[in-house]
Amino acid sequence: MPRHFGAMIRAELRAVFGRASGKIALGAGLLIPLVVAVVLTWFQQKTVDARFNGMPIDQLADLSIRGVAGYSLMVRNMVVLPLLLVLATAAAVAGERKENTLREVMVRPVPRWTIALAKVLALLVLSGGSLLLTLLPSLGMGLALFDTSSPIHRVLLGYLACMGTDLGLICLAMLAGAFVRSVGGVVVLLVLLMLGDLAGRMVLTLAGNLGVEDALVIVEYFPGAALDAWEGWKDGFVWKQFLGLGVLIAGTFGVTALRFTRMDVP
Amino acid sequence: MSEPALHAIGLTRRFGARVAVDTLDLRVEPGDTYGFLGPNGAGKTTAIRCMLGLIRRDAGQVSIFGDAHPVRQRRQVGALVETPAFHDWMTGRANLARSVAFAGQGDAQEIDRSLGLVGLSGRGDDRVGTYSLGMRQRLGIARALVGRPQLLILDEPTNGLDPRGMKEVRDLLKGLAKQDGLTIFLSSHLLSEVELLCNRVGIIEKGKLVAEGTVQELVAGRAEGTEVDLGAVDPTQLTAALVDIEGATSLSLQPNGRTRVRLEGIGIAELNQRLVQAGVAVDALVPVTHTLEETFLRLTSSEIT
Repeated sequence: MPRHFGAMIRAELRAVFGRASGKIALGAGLLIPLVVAVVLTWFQQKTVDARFNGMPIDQLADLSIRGVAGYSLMVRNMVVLPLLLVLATAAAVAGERKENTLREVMVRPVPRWTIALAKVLALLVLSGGSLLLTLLPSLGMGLALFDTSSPIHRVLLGYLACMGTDLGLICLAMLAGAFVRSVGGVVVLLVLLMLGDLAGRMVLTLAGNLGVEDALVIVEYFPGAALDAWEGWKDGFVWKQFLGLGVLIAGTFGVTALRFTRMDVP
Repeated sequence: MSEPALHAIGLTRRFGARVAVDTLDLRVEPGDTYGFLGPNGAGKTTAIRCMLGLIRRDAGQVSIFGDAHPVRQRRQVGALVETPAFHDWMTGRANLARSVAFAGQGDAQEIDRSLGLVGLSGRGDDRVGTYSLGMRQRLGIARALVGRPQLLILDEPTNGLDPRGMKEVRDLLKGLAKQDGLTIFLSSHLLSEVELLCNRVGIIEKGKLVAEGTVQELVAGRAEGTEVDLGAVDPTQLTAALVDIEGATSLSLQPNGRTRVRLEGIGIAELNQRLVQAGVAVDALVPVTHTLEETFLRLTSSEIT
């Protein structure tokens, strides 16, 4: 590991936070709890008469500090933030390869895998920053506007787990970016991969429900299942998902590091 | 004897069946300003990329100041490869700071110094996206200079510069070589520039080094044998005598009636002595000099890059 690895990470942080994808990720992270709090306030004050299966939504929704933080995390992870993280990662790898700026760091006297690691860690800081920008306002508004008696430790663990699943997503996008030379290409590849993963899990779940032995067990080890590990804040965390997440992170980063070491830089 | 600044031995790189760099041997001594010439597609940039470790080599070794370690050796190298690329949304200074961070050598003062050397002190805090092509090229040179490397590897350093800018860069490189003792290895398509700047030149054709030497040696033809124009009272006697002299090859009859002869393994004085011994009345013996461009065109089959 180079002695100036810290400086490398700081340089990558400036790049990650300086790009539009990084700024939007932070902005979206901040906006989400505000929107969630406003909607929950509407439900609480019965400003809207929303119902689900005939039940008033205010009786179904968790109108507490736990609910604000938890729903904010769910909304965050629905589409916007994962997509922005993939975009930020793609820009840091595939984008830099295409613009030849990766070449300029590759001629520096550092092992190439450390460049990949610096990028991953900077992107993880972006993930952490966006999570904090979601968590802190949601806790603040939860304290000010909603019931504070419900325990929130599991939601907090959910946020922590989300950093792990974000890391898995970043590593997956890094791997794609190490092979594909366009930001759009990385996004398309990841979307196709996730759709394939979802379809595979659906087929296996169906097979499991039809009595095929082990089908449901295999589902738990799919990359998509690992990336959903944060959802345990609702009903309890599943250790197999975290095991799968660990394998996903180690495997994808290992292959990315190898690819970085061996790839020709134009 | 000190270690060569840059030493490539048997450098080879293939792209499929095509051999882009073919067992290339190069030796650049400390303090040299080495010009690397070759036509389009001759393998110059591929060779430079191999030397910098940007692309894998299929065979061969590269050592820089005696160090063959692929990562460590780059501590002593500043490089500019083709059109320099930058983060356009960052300032020039921030781009250099990024390079310093990854290099682990250099600081803010070093960045100021490099910007000053290339005449960009006043624009360092502007976004690179607002720079002209020439300014980007200067910034690329500044980036190669941060960290005070001992060896500069520059691929077409004056690309995109106007005549004044070209002269400034030339003067800068001359100054760096003379005052700071920097070793410079540069590829250029401007033969006149190489002639003005470089003390040694290598010409590459189809991935192979076809000639190497000082500019004087190359233009005098000494790198691949001396050439002389010979005149004699009796040209027929001269032609007959040359057949018997080993190492002297008649090339062509010149418009002025003299015979152009290539000498390999035999000096001009010895040739004259042998001709006199053969009874030839020599009335002219003129060493032939070429321009670098003529030498280049003679050694390479393709057009000048």
